[in-house]
Amino acid sequence: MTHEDIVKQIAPLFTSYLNENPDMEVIFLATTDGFPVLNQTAPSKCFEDDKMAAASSTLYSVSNAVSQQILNKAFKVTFIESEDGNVAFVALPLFEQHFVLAMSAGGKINIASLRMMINRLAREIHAKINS
Amino acid sequence: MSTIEEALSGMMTIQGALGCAVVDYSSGMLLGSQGAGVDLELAAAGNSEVVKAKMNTMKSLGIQGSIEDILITLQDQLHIIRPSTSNEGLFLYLALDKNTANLALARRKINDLESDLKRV
Repeated sequence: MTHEDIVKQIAPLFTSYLNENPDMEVIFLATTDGFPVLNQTAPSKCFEDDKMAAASSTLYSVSNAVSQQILNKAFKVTFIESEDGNVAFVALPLFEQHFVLAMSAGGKINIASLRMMINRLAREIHAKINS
Repeated sequence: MSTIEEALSGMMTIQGALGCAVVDYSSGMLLGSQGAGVDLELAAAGNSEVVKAKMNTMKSLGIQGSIEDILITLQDQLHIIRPSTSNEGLFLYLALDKNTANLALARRKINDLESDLKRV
């Protein structure tokens, strides 16, 4: 399956999450080697997807290295907590390829809610791509 | 359909309510809470283990179906845990003062609030 096929299938999911949650700002998918696949943002947000993909890839590697070193397990979720908002990153394996899914939201969506939503979206993407 | 904040406000209107929360039991984290008198962050984490333990026990026993609610009776308090059907992995948690609460009414009300909770 190509990245274009993946984008075609999951873009409506990204749109629905952004539409249903007004405080959600960014949903972003990148490969673990640092290439952007798909991003959707709230109208007020913009960012450079190349830089975001590179940062996501780095964070994936660091999170995995720490998790493997300390717990001897692959990482699942990493959070960045900022002054007024949070960003979550999850590892997302699809068709023997590895991706990082990122989601950011303003302060009205707390970490627990963001964690639940990004995990749910990851499960939905997995189900859609593998169906 | 109601939001988490509306569900929490609804739980706090139940007679005898001390504190309430909506909890993600896979992480033990609070999605929201209201009230005082109980350390709700600690209660969320602890009761997440209760829910997971019960689910594992049901699985071990081969019991089909899901948990409707869990009632914990303490000397002075009643605690009700009600897993959410609209949001898999979440539960509603309500701590009540045993002397002033009406258990039947509280269970009924929390059932209604849970049924009305919209997908997060």
